Amino acid sequence: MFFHSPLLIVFFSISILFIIGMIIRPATKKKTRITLSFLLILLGLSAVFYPKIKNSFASQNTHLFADLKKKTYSSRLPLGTEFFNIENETNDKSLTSEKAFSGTKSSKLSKEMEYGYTVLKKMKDIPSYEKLKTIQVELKCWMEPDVNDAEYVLSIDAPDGKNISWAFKPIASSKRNEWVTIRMTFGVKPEAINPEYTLKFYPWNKEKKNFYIDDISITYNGNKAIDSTVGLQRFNTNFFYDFETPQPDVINTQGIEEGIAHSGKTSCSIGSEQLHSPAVVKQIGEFCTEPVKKVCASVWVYPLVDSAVVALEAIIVNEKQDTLFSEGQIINGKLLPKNKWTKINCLVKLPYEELSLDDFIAVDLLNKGKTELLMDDLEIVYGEENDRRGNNSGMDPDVIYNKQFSAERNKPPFIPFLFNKKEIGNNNSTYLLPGISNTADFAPADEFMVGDFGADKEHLDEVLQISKNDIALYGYCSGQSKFISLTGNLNTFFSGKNYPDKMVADFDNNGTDDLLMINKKEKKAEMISFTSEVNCTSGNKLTPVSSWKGTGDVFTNWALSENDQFITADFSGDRKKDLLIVNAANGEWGIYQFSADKKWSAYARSNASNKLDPTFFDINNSKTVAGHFYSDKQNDILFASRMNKTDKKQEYAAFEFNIAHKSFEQQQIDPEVATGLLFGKDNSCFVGNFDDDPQQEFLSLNSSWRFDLKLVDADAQGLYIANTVDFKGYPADHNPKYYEFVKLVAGNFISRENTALLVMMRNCSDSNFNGIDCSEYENSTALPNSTQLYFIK
Amino acid sequence: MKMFTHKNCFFACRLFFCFAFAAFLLQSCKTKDPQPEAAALSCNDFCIQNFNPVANWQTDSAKQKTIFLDYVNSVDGFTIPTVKQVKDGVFFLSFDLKNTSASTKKFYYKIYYQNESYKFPEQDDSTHKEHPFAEENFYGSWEDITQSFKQTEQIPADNTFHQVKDYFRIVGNPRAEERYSENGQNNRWKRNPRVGNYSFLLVVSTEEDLKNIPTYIQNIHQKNKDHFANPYYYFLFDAGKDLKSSVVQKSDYTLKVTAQPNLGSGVYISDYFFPNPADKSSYCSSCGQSPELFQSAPFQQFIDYVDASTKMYNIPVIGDVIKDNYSKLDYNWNKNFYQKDELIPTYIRTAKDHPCQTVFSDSANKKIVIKNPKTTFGDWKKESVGIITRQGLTYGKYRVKVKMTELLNKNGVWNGLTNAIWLITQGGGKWNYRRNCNNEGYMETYWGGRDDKRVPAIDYSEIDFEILKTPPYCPENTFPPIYKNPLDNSRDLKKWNVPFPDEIVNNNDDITVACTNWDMACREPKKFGVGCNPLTYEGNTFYTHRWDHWYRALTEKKLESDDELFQSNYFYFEIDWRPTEIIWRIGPEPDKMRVVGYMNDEITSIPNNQMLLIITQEYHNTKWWPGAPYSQDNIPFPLNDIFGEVYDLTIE
Repeated sequence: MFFHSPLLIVFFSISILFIIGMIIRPATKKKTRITLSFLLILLGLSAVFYPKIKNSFASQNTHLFADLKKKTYSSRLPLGTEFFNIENETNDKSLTSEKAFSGTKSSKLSKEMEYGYTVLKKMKDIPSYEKLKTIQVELKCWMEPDVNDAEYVLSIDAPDGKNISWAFKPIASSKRNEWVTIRMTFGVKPEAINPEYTLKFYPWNKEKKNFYIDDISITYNGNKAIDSTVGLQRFNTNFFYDFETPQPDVINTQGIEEGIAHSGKTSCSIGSEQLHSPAVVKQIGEFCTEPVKKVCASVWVYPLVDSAVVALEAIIVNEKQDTLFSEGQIINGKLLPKNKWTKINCLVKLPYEELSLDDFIAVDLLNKGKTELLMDDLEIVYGEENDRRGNNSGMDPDVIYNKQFSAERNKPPFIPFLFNKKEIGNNNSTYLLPGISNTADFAPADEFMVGDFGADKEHLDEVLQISKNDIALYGYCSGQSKFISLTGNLNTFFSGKNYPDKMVADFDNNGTDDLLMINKKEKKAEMISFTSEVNCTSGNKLTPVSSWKGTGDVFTNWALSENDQFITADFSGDRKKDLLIVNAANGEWGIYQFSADKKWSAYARSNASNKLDPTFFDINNSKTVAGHFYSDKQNDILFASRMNKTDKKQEYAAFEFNIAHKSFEQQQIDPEVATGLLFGKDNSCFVGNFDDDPQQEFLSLNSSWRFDLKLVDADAQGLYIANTVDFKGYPADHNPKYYEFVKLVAGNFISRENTALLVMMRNCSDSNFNGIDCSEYENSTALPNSTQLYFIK
Repeated sequence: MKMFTHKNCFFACRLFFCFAFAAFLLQSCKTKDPQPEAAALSCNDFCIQNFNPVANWQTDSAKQKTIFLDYVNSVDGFTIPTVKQVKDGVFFLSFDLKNTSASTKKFYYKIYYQNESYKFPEQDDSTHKEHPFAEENFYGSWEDITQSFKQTEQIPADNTFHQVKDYFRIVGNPRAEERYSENGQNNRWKRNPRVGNYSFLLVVSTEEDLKNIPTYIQNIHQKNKDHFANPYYYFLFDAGKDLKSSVVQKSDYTLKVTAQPNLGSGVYISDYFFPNPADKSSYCSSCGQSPELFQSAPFQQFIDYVDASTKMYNIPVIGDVIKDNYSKLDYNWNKNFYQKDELIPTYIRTAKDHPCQTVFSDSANKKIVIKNPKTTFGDWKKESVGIITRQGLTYGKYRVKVKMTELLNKNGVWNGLTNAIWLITQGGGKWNYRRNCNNEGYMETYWGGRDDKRVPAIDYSEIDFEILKTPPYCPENTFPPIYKNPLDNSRDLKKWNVPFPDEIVNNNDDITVACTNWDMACREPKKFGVGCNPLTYEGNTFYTHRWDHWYRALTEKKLESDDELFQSNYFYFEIDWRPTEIIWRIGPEPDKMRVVGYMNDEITSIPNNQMLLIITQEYHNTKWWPGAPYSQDNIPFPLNDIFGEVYDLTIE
């Protein structure tokens, strides 16, 4: 690594001058003295003119940034400034009237005085202290000639005296015996931010020499608040430049031309007089919300001579185009063979505490050897990997170490529950049926209705696929371990039917499930049944028939409205599913059963005193799930969740239908035992019997950030997350949860006792895929699209 | 890395001479069968011939005899030979002497031995004086240090050779140095005999000439101006070679001493590593703390030093990386899509509570098996395992035949383990100090930072093979690999499943063999350096790397095929620790070894203290290994036990 440090070079030059001066003595031969004198002059000149070299470099940098359009991402926000003229202090022993920059007093550091005037500041007394990023200190100092090592210290301490942070900056100046202005900046790390901490500023006279301090100005800076949503964003921080096409953040592009290239046709030609290559310049706020700690880069270099010396470097300039920092990795000719592409990697740690989002960062190749060379394929990675989401685990490693771990209710980690892949002979393609490539392409956007529509000895479920332009029915044949098509005249039959709400249950109590479809807006409903049995040998088709149809008030004494929610479950305790309608606006409800006279009769109806809490049925803020979750209960239980709009926490309630009173009994689930997200409005819930116990449970899928599937079960306290669900047996490493878009369809396809999952997994080529609507799927070789069946057994 | 102290020792066999050799008197007699081909060496008053230093040990070649270190009852130090190996447990020496003077007289003789394989030359090439480090050579003489030159019986001037017989044995701390003694007891185990070839030097003198031999040569425990004087230098290069009435004969024979402990002799459990184990249920006849194991086991179970930096927040995944072929896709998903509160906070664990559960000594197959135990839900652990020798040695060519766990699966993903074969100081403090570092000193501790105090001498030393998945640091332009930052956007595969850099992908199936010498930042070597520096040995260029002037270890790295090293039935790893250089070799057979690391005393301080050998399968915090492509906390807990087997250790 190297550092552009003028002080270092001047110091080096002076040291050499001094040494040579020592060497030249009268006894030295005249010729030698002349030579050495000449060298002395050269060195002296180099020292004198060093600032010009430095300025030249700076002007180069200025040139680099000259044409950039600046945006304001954040500028340093002064949180407060304080000034101490040290005139009215009475308790400070360092105060003296010997000298003062202003007034009559200053703080004197001397042989007897190691620490000078101290400023104490409670963190909570700084306005918006939580935004504190840097502290600028400006002070006046008078130093006697022999002062070499004076420091100014910022210490941050906890109330119990424990030191949290300690840093010092040099009080340095070449001027002596006069007042000079000293400026310094301290960075404040996030872990040092606490309202109870105390900041302590003081000069430190390490050498116990004489100097004076006066007029201390302290400015507390924070970064300006940025839109809170930005904090949730994850910026792309990886950039690659092959120099094949112009890119707006590449400047100094005159050498980019066709010829020898590491990739493509073009590369950057750097002449022997050219110090800087084309550079990539970005404003820090373009790719992060806080200044980054490092930048990594790699580039391919092709020297045209043997003696190339280059440095891959990062330069930071501020809005005023002052160079704040530059550092890089020097590679010399031994590692850069002529006429050969060599890759150079570089990592530069940045003084992030002192940077602003408005500062610019440039990455370029410094042609230190001033030789002709080519450069291509520059890759830059800004900053570190994003922190994982969420809060830190509260688990104690010592507890785990001592084998005393006991799981906390609804808190991770959860025991994994693994679904095994069940072979369905479709070669893991997206097509459900084996060997048929142009049918049965299950699309995740399709609507799927699952039920035992066709009579069969095993009473297995079939799946009805309702696509945009097609309707199909499939059933699983366990003897052949494959799905077959049961599609009859479905497209014709369903043509023109417009029913947004669909439910499946054996409403007519004939032993097979029916499809009940309702259009609330148009106040109409229709129930579909399927004739004939499923026959895996003959491959017969099922024929849909309209077993009931109605308009207007199709449910006795119930006026359909847009606010109605439909839930199917066995509330009456006869092990047959009923239809519960809840008006989410007023909490009125009715349980309906399809009677033998082909009417929907109310088994129970709400009255003014036993309405349901409508907020648990608000379609925009709630979610319901019903099932036979308790084996000791006669009927099904309805669980509902809603988000508390004030504290954004999820709330849960259980609704148990009291058969005797024909009324729902609502029980709020203690938030202490229902922490975390069991299920919510963004979850998809799949009720079934996935495990080995007799009662049902449900799978809760949340895909808002990742594929997050939990097995939720019920106990006396309510609901709890029993397991986190994963898969095994999938081809290669194509775990369904890795896909961009996963659709689950649960059904008793394989066994009447246990529920299986039909899993459709796809990747989407849309550049702005939102997780729901995909216009074009992408069949990646790393993760090919597929439809598979998973089962616990 | 890891420090410990040596066990206490017993001294059961110290005085066995008392009864064994009461009848074996110094004698002279007429040689019955002088060997005419044996040339006699003569001086003014006598001549000698047929010098045989180890008459009771068979030769295995024209010039060499080989003996293996006897590990039974060796905790107090090795003796060569033992009563198990030869009757009476001593080497018989003999020579024929003919008195050529005018009168009957007694003569004076002494035998010296010296380890020739691991020594500094007696004479310094540049000064032609005694090499400053020649006093460090392992040489000795009569076990009883009060015994100077012994005298023969009266030998008549009868123009006839008379045979002189005696005995000796090679023992630790032969100069009875105080630094290795405690409360007047010579702890010979603190300076064990070295392995390798021993030469023998017979010096016979007249009473008159004996007066010309300095007493510190006659008595090797004495010092000359605060330094021991190497008698080989005195007699072969200095004034001793010009004595008029003395004969100095270096034997034609060398004795090769090799250590090859029986790995089926059990594993000992020491109080040092296991001060208070909660679970002793796995103690058995081949592992535990029985007196038999104390006396015979060459290895003990090793416990890695675990510091707070090993605390990790590990993904809550239990899997078999090798068998289940955990892929880069798996790795990347787990890296991006677990929240912090789902992670398992844990330390790298050790077996300190349950000795013998994870190490086994197989007496039938003479091997030791180690295993990293599997994890179950709720009992998450990444537990390191290992064994360490019990007898310290200085220098030697340590070659192990092992079948350690594979580190990479067929996808090139690492299972998080580091296979390590390494030497570590036997500890102990001053008695085991390294040679003083004369340029600012050593960093005082191995764990401290840049501000650590520098001291002239320390006892810490370490020489490592560490084999894991990490990139080379050299040459400079290749490091660090540039890893893209993933985005945890599950709706865009390309954003979270970012590819690894070319440097990693191109070496997908390779692991890194890291060869390290902990020189504790001693700046005395004339080419001490930081950063990457090339070093050529036998036509191969190795790059040494040191992070900074205060950094205590110098490392070389070489990429090797994981399949070759760990998929085969066994593989050999060799640390050749010599006084002025260290050579790391690996290979499929002892005669097919290749050099993977080389350092010498021009670039690094070579340790000269006593060390132990450790074989471990360790979990490391990857923060120790900048640039490592796989982070330990993103590698699953092991679903199955992970085994390693040690078939042979040969030190020669």
